[in-house]
Amino acid sequence: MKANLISSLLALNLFAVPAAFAQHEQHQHTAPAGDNAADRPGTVEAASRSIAITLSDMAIDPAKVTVHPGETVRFQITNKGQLLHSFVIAGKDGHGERQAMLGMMLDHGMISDTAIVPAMMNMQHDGHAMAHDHTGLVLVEPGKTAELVWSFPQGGAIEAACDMPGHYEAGMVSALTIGHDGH
Amino acid sequence: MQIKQVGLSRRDALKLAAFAGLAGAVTVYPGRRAFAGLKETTLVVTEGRITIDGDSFPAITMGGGVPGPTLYWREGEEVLVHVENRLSEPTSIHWHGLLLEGVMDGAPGFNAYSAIGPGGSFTYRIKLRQSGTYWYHSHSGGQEQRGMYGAIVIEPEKPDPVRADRDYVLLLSDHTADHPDHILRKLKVSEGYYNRGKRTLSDLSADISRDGLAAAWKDRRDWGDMRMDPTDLADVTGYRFLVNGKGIGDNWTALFKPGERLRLRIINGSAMSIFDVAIPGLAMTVVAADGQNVLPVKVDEFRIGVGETYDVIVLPAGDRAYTLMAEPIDRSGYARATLAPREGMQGDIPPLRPRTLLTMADMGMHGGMDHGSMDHSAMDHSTMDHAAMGHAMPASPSATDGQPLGWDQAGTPAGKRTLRYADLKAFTRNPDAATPTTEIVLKLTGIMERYMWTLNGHKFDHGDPIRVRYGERVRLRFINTTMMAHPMHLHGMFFELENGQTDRMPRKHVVIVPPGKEASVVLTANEPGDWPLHCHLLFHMNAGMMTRFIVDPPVPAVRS
Repeated sequence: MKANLISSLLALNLFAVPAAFAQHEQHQHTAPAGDNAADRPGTVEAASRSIAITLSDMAIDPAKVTVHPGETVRFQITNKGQLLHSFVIAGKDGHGERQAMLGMMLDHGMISDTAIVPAMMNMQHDGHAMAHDHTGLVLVEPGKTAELVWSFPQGGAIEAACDMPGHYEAGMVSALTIGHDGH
Repeated sequence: MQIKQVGLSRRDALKLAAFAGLAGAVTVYPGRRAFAGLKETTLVVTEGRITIDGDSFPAITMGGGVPGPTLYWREGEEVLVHVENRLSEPTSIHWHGLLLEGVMDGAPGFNAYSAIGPGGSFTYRIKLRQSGTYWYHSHSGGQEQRGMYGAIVIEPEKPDPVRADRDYVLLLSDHTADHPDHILRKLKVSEGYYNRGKRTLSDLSADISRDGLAAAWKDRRDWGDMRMDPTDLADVTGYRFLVNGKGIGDNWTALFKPGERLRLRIINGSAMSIFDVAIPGLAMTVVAADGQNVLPVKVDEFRIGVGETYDVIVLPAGDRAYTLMAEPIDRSGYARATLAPREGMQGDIPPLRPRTLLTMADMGMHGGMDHGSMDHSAMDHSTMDHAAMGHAMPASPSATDGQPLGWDQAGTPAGKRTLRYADLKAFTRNPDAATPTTEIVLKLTGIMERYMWTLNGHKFDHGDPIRVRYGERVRLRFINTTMMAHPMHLHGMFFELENGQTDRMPRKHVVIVPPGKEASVVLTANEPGDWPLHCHLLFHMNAGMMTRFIVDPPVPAVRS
């Protein structure tokens, strides 16, 4: 259980990497078809627009985001805080799982409160191969910028939040509405 | 109307300064900078009454009630508090956790501050240099216990890192109809007077059948030599435990809409009670300790010492009532509050958890203490057979028969997480990472049987004060040679708790030093003054467990 969690974590798009690399990673995977309820990574080509997101200690700006049903959005995320943050798009029930994962990564020294620890991130944990998984999660170190391209479903309850342990509770959550209001 | 709280306009403030001769109270800022403002409050201290669950008791009130009014202030603001003493005895108000000028600290006998005589008044003036949750209370005799306590909430100048939909103060306290002077007299006569769990002959029989005669007798004799009891968790009982001055039946309630984010500012304003706090069914994310922001840490419960504060965030999602339980560590009762979507609701009240039984480990025999530096005579350790000790005790704290063993065991349900000091990380990095140049050892000492509580074996003002230079980096090591936990409080300054963090040691003004254990803190002595350093258990302080922590003023630069 523990090892699986960590190995799947290693597969996530966790790093505040240059956008080109992030895109490359995302290009390797085709989105699961016919999954209308779930949100999923998208391609830059499909993105209809970019939304700039600013992370700080402890807030996400803008605090409200509205996207269209089925829309693909390119999020450009800047961390202006002093702490390591994440930007996670998930259903309301999905954040708890991400929080547990990041908590475990903290416990294992793969990340700290302020940085990603590359040496620990690249370690092979119990010989498990890196699994491929899709999670709308990107880690952004202080002062860095990252990108997340996401295709939204037709509807549903989705939140954008930071899932570093305790950050969601402290208020790092952005109300994400799938709808037409305002556009 | 006994409380006034008004913001003064600049013109009013200038008038006030002119007419009241408070020229020094007003700073006129040059240029376009806005006037910081003076906020004025009057607190009348008088004999009054408190009603708990329908029973009325005499009390000392500040601003008309118990607790006193919550003072909502703002960082950067300068506040004036006029205190009028209408008691027939001297009084004082101390601003617990606030950085201020020594004479404004409100501890009689320190910093050239004198108690406010009957019929007299005093105006405190504080330029607020901090934000967060604090409190204020009398620093005279047992008045705090009789109702002289209230909360302070200081809004930060910069945006608060934590945003909540609702913000509540929960001020915990312990109330007794007994006059504090009477309690202290009884304690002096028989320390165990209030020990409701005092071990009896039948307990000894049970121990003998469990451990064998020799072990049980040896154990009992060791405890006797210590002049303490293994059930010594609290030395005063008979309390009713209150939240914001309300009893269990009064059921103080915080309202919420499901899905909202609530900030609870929990203050332990008790005289003598350390609490375990939990909200069954709701995780709590601790975001501040002793008023200072910490990196958020999610827990199910925490232990709060007298004088400590914790701010927590909760996200109640259900359309239901939740119970906040605060159980004193001797489990002699509980305080409760309710979080509910509507008035009149209440959640389940869980059964009280078993009280822990102290072990020989709590005597410091296995706590990694430096025995060489201990004053053995104070506790009669010299008569103990150290080598033979501990063999009859469980190897590790466990709850074989359902009773937790060891001071730090709260009877936490399996799978639940309790806050430890090591979890606390300062929200911003410690500004001064310098290695301390001075180390001060403070032994927490006492003879319980005679209710003598001392520091380094001396009652207050019988031993030498602690004296440090301005700007000196100091480590304070508290070595608890007693069987009780002591929440040690320093006035005028924060210290950084050496809890294993390197550059994010939490800034605190109280540290609980567990029985038989050691705690260390570091500080940069940058607040000149003559500050009290004491155990915040009221009767321990009054029995003498206090000293002076003197920070010399900066040496003026020599002009040539």
